[in-house]
Amino acid sequence: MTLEELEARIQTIEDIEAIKKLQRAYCYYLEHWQDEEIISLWSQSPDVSVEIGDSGFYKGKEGVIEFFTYSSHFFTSESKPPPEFLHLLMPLAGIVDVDPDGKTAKGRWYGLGHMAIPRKGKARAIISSGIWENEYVKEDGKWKFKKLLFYTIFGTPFEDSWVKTSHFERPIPLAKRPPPSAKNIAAAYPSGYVFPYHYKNPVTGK
Amino acid sequence: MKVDEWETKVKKLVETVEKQNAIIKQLTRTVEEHDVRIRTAEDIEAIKKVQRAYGFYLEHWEGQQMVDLFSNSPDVALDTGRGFYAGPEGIKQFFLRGEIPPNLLHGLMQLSGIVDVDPDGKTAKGRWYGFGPHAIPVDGIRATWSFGVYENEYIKENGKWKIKKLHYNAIFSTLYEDGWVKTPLLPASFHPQEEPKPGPSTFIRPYPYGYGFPFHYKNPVSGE
Repeated sequence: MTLEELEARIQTIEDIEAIKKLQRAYCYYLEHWQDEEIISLWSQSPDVSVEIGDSGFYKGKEGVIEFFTYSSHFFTSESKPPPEFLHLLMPLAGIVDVDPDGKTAKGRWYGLGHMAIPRKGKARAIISSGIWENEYVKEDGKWKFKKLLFYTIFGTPFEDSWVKTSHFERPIPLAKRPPPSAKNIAAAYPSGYVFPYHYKNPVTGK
Repeated sequence: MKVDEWETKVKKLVETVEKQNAIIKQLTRTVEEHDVRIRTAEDIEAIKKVQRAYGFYLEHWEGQQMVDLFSNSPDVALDTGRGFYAGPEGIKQFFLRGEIPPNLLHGLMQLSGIVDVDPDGKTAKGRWYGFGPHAIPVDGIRATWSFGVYENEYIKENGKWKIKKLHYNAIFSTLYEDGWVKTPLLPASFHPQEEPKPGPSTFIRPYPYGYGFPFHYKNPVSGE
């Protein structure tokens, strides 16, 4: 056991914690859609991308900016969300794996949250669940988002349930959005779709 | 140089070497101690991964994947609060269910884990919340909420952490429309094979039990 080996192991532990902080920080900013803070969490790499449910595949830094900027995301002239806006989505049960080179990493998380998305001037309570499979990259000693992929299991009006209404009528005109990626990212409940894992079974390695 | 001058020189040299040896010994001990402490941190993260992976596999009931997370030891056990399944055969009986309907939704997010590795580094215990929005077959298919507490045991075999004992105490399993006060515990609707008959559960106290599931750990502040 050399000191270098010990240091590498400590580095991995620190990296996992730093990535978990990044993911959780993203979600705290998401609550009131703090777009500038969210965009600052992203890598400068041209390979960045973001795709959330059926909202379309946005690539490159420009795509990330377009997707997260409040006004362009919600097709509104307002620059900030109104007070009744709530986009609470907790990142839970995270499994983070740092790649052997220590420069990139992947993470799977559950997302569960309570939202209020104003539509035609009226906020509506929504309960939402999904899974992230994200990629992270370390640049200048800091972990950043490289790819964010969120599979929406359901987004349902609180008065209903995910069995009754798995996808609420979205406030976003999907026709104005780019097409989704080839993955079954829009396969919400009750598709039976198993969102692919970035990791193998931790015991069998299969 | 005179003989006594040589003697002084050699004595000093020996002293220096002895001092350096002591430092090397101290450093080696420090490295070994750090190795153990880092190992414990790695073990905790590895165990959390196993437990969280279990929760993700539950979502669409990936039976074989869940079976594979358990040790092959004859001591493995699963207590669901509705039945006690002993040994590797019991684990298979509970998890391997054949075809799963696509509208089943059974993910239990594994949350707020407290994992303690035993001093020998070979076994560990963990307490977790399990919480999830479900869709299960009750009068067709119904949206339900499930919430419970786990007290689990883990074992390290060939460098890999596995589940040795999994014990779930349901706090509530309720229809979305009802709530946990009105309907604390729905009847088990998603049945495992009931032959051979599972043993009786050792502990099941759903809401309003008034007293919690025993803890594997002491109060971290008072130690009591």
